[in-house]
Amino acid sequence: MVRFASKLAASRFALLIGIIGLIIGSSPFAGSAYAADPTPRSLKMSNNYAGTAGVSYEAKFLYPTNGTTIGSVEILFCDNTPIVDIPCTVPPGMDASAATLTSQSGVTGFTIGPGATNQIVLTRPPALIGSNITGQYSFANITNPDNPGPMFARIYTYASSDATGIPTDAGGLALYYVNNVAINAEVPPYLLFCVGENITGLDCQTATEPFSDLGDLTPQITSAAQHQIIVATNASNGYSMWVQGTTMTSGPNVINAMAGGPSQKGTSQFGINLRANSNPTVGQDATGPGFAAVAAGYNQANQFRFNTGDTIATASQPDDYRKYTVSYIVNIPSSQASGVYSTTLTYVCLANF
Amino acid sequence: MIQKIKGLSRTTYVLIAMVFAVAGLTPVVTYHRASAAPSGGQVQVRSIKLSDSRANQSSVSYDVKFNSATAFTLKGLILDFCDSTSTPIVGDTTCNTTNLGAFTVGASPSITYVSGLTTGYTVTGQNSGRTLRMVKSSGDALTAGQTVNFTITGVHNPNYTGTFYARLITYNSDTGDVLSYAPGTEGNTNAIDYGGFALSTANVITITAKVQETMTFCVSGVAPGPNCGQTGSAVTQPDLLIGHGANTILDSTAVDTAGAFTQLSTNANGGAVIRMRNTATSGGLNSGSNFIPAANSGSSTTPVAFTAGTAAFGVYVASGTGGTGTITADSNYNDGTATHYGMDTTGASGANVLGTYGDAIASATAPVNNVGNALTFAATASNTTPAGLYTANIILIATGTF
Repeated sequence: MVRFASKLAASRFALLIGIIGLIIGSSPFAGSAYAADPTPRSLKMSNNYAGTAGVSYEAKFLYPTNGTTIGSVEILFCDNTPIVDIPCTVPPGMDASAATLTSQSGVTGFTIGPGATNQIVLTRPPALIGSNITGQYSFANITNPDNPGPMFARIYTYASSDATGIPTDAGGLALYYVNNVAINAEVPPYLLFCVGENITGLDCQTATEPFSDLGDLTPQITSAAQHQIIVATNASNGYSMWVQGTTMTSGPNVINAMAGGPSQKGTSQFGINLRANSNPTVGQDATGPGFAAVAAGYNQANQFRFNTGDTIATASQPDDYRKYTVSYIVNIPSSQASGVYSTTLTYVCLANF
Repeated sequence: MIQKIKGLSRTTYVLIAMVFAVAGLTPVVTYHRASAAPSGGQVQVRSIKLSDSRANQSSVSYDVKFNSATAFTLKGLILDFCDSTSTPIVGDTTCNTTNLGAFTVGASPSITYVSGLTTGYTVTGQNSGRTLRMVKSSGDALTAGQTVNFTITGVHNPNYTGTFYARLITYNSDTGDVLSYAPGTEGNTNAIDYGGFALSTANVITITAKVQETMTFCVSGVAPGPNCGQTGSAVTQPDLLIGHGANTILDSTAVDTAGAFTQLSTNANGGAVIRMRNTATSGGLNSGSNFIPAANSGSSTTPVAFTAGTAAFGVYVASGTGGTGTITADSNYNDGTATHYGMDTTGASGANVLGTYGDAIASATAPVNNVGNALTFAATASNTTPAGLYTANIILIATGTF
């Protein structure tokens, strides 16, 4: 009887211990086993577009329990809840199994341990940490979950090196996956090209009639005139501009086109260039923000030339406004047959897209 | 004998019945009165209200309230506390403290007078704090039925969870019986009214509720309704085409804009940061190797006004609106002028739109709910901007600090 009473008492004690153990081990009391939340804590990502591969994540948190032993850190991605003592559902499509640790600071010495598709484990030999240390860990090569919307993560720290045992600290995080902003803008190909006897500034709207009257030609005077051209284009390979036409004629009578050279009164000359000249005083150098160049043969002051089909200016890349002033000079000998001499010149600009 | 009994008259029966009745009541009266003999009556409508019923709690207030049964001048009062193995019956000699551990009204209890009694009482804790004694030579005149109410502050509850009792005796003298009070020796000269109270300490109800970390963040082509369009306007895919004219083209004649919207809700204590990444390698808009440059607003530069014809791409981030809480736009994207645009491509330590985690465009320092930010993207082309379709994928990421 005495023995029975003793056993009964022992059994009751064991039962009591068991019940207490069950209570302590069950939720919600299980959470109280953790020392503290790692606060503040955050988890940055380089891309929050669902299903994206190769995404970088950066976990940052304050180790809340000072002077404790840390052997591992676990980052767990969950589809259902960040609450650390509730079973975690794996987010569909999430894959952190190939994650790499790209940097670490604060509590260091970690390497990536065996994890899972939704789990990253940092491991190191257990060692004491100091006080108020913020750990920062960057990971690469993670694939985001398939579904846009909320997802959760949990951060656990352990004394063990393999993320086993009761976590020292634990805390949850919330993440969100969204759509990207796609921005499109279409820049159309264009070529701005205008000709006028005079153009104010760089505004083609101000171009005047491109007609030049050289007046009466005499052997003693070099007749001169000018008009202006503006070109701009976003063509990737720039543009070429050339002149087409004939020298000045009057029926069968011709004023000779210049092959290149200075103006000489009393000779038969018709030529152009795109420079500021002093003999005669006519023309301007090219102006404007563009960088197109005047072609050789038409790019020397006081030197004139005319050859139909010649390129007179080129740009090898998109070029902003460039205003050219084309100068015309005419000389005639005393033997020049009388008549009305004229010509029509056509300027052609071709953008090279 | 039986016959004799049977022969008794009705009057005799009544007398016998009265004898039995008195015999039955006598123990009760004796139990109440015992050797103590308050001359008045039992106080009515009596109660002691505790401010905290948890066992072993300190600084608890006991609100004592009763109606005087007798008209007299109260000059002394005893309030004696006994444990659950005792009784509240005044006159009972047993007043244990076994289950009254740690209980005390204090050596010099503090009293707040509410009604009936006025200040001037000398208040002491007797019997190691178990008994409250109040005496005042001038006393306070009470009428029958008058409410007496006072509060004892600074009481330490018993460390035992369960019932305990209190006994109240009032006296018409501040000397004599009140000073010699002991359970069962309440006095029969100055004791007037009496009454018992039952009190109890109890376990508190621990309520645990888990609020999990949350974040809702959306990016939309239109301003979404609350909870990211769960009601009101739904979220739309933010595919923006910047340009003008029938063909929605971008050229040098205008600064064109297009808008997108974010909405953030989070319970993150430390707030949240909305960061922006631009996947275009230039940080602006890219078309192959060609690009419309970003209007860099990092590294000590600020958002700028765009000039039509000077190729640039940037964004203006408006301060948060709607909902609850504050989201402040970063100064790189909001200098106070809605037509100034920025795109930080040079911020230090990779904190720019080309960095791994992008550049902060707006932030909150506390939880927010349904706060929206409008983003206005702006671009213009120059005369030399090569033709093409220029694109950028803008990644907007919200990160909470929990």
